[in-house]
Amino acid sequence: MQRYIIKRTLWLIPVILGVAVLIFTIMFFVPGDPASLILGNTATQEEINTLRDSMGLNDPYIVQLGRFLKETFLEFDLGESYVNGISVAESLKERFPRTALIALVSCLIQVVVGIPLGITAAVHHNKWQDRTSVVLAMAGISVPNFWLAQMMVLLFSFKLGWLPAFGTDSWQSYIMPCFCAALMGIANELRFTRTYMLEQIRSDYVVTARAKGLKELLIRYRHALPNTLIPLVTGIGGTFGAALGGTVIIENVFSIPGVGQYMVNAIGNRDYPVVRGSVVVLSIMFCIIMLLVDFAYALIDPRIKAQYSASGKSKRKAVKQVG
Amino acid sequence: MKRHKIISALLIGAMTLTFLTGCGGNNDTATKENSGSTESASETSGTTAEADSGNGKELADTITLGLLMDPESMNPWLGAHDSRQQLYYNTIYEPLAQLNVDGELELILAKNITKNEDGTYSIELWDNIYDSEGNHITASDVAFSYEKCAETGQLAWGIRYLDHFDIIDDYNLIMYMADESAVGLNMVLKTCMIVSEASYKASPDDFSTTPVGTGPYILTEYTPGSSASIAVRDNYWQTEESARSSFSQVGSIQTVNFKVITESSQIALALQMGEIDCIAGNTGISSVNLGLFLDENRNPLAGYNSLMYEGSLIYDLELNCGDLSPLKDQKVRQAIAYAIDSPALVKNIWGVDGVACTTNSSPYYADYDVALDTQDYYSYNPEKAKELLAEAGYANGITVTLISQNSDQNTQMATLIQSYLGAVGITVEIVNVEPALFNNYRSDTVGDQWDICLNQVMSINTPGRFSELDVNAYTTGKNGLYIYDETLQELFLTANRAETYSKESVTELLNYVDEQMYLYPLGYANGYVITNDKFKTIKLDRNSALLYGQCIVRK
Repeated sequence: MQRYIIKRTLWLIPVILGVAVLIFTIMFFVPGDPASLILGNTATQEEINTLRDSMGLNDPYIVQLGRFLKETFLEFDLGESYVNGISVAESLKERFPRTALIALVSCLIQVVVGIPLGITAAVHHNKWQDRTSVVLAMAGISVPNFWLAQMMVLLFSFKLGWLPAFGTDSWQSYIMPCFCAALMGIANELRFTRTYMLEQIRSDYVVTARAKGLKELLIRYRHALPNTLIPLVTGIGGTFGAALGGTVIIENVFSIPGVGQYMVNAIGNRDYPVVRGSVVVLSIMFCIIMLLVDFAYALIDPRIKAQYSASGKSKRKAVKQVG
Repeated sequence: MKRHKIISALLIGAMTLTFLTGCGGNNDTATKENSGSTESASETSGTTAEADSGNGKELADTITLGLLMDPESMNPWLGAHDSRQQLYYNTIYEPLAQLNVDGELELILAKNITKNEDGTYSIELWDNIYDSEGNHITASDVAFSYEKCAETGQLAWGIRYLDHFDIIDDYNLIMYMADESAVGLNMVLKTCMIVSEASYKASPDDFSTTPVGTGPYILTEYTPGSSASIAVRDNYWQTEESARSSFSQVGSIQTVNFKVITESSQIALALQMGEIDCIAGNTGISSVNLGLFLDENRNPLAGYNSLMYEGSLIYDLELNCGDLSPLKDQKVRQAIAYAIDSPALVKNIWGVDGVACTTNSSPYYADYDVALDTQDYYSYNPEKAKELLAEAGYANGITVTLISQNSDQNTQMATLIQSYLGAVGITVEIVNVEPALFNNYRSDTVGDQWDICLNQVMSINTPGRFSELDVNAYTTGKNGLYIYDETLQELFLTANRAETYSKESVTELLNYVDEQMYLYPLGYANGYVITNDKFKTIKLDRNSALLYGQCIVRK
């Protein structure tokens, strides 16, 4: 198992390097000049060239790539924004906790609400509980989150005055954003849980368990649910990773200065250091999350853990035999 | 089946209920009696005392402003935008001089500026300027500030006219201009904020979050992307009231809080809810949301106050005169001018806030001549447009490419232009691109990417507005419209040069540009600063930034 962990961790290095090279290349070839954007359309060609020189943008591709990789991975310097001169690392350090909080809380809400609803729907298949859950899931997937965000602001902030409409002044400021971010995830968790649970509760081992007289709750949560967790955990991991970089709309509507807004503005401004730095950091986070998901498989399913351990042992055995 | 129908009906009902809940409430403000006062920007000076009756209420010392854009940094030499102008221009930082609402230069850190015979300028500083950390500002700090400004590069458009400074002593320096442009002096003096070299070098982050300036305010709180606060400092250096400029920020407002709210509808909501006292900034709220605060005649509704300011951004069509474009023919360009009904277009886009241009100048410019604005200027005449096209040999029509930036407004404008030109036989293919790509297209050196460019131009005077007509600004031997017109170049240089800048030279330039139809001005939109009714008097500077020290706000 340890060898498996080390091997997976080492695989992160080429993956992240690959992502870095890819994002650099994409941004290099995307049309648009950050220098002329910064200087405006009254700037002369000379002024634009001078600024491009100072940014290092007139160097060849390979020189710029080498400089970027060296600064990022050897010097751990993500550079400074072209637009405001602030260190990308500092800005990310400031913004990331807000986005991570929304991502984490929304994932928790998805799990806490979506999974039990899905189980209820599966267990009461074709009854009113099931139909209501399906309708709720459809509504959750269909409702655009920017619309929902605006409606919630109008209701809870403007009409009722219960919650703040924008900003990050207090923990109450995060309630509506987290809920908006969670809604589609709740719907997805509900549907997937329902589907996988339906498969499990029709399995022979569940029938046997019932025949043996086990309590229904025990059958559902102790026997059936663990067998549905693997695809659910994969989904949650993916959702959390996507939420780290993808809550732009929520951040814009609620004026939360997070990573999503930071990146989207940088893309529009061709602020290369910000885009590259943010993508590298997010890709590292995403890889770590996927790694944790893989480890979670081993915790959930002992067969997988045995497989991880067995693959290490069988390789050592094969090497011994050959030797 | 019946159960399905019931569930569907319940779902539709729930969604409708939510929708209606969100839509209610706003009509209340629309039916209330209008009790606010309206001032136009030109009436701001001298109306302070009369507009405020007090009603026994104390003056407020704290206000909260909503900003649509995050200032991102407090560095004084980053590209200018509304939030920075509102937050730290003339509050935390000060320049040597600034343009007042009439476009005249007023001295701030400079005590005296004299033009020398050799074309240089002698600048004398006040000898008692101290920044908020107590550092004494001298001539070397001025030179340092301009150096750093040039290094940053983002304000090159403003200080490109400066060559260098010679320091005479602690309070005197000579300014050498690189350019004889009529706007040069004003641009150089107003663009660069002056800071102490010692303070700047002591800053851990180049003033990004810890600014130190000579202005009457200091930054007390800043959360990037979220909020900021500035407060009056006790040790502001300019104690002589009579020496303070017309946009001095020293007054009853002691603290200004800023909230960054990047969504237009949210900022309107924040004002309605009382979370903020004012929506500030040139980019303001959309004309749709203006209806929440202003009636159809643009008078403020009850509970609000407003001040209109003239738009500084002229929308125009730049016409490609190069050999690769059918617009190289003057008749084709004139046909385009006659084919577009610009008053109707402007009304369609901006409603009562729009003003159609009849000249390539604007009331915002210091040298604006109202006589030019009343002239007969390419009035809408599609029949004449068709005649001109036929004379140019395009009786069967032509196809042209129009580029514009992909904002909602630009897209709408481009579509209207497309239909106007289509009616006279000019087929327009619209290329809508994001700002980053727009500059690429616009500055293409070959001249085959576009025929018509829908652009916005800002300037402080009329010649400055024609920067793309100046061949010297380009390296191809032709100007930004892909042509070298000797007459145009001479007229431009004459109007643009400080010594020959005059009403006559500007008029001659305008007339020639109009005759050749190099640029077709469409119009501009006036803007509004909207406040709650605690604001009894609103005063703005030339950049439509609120002058806190001069507004009267009651509790």
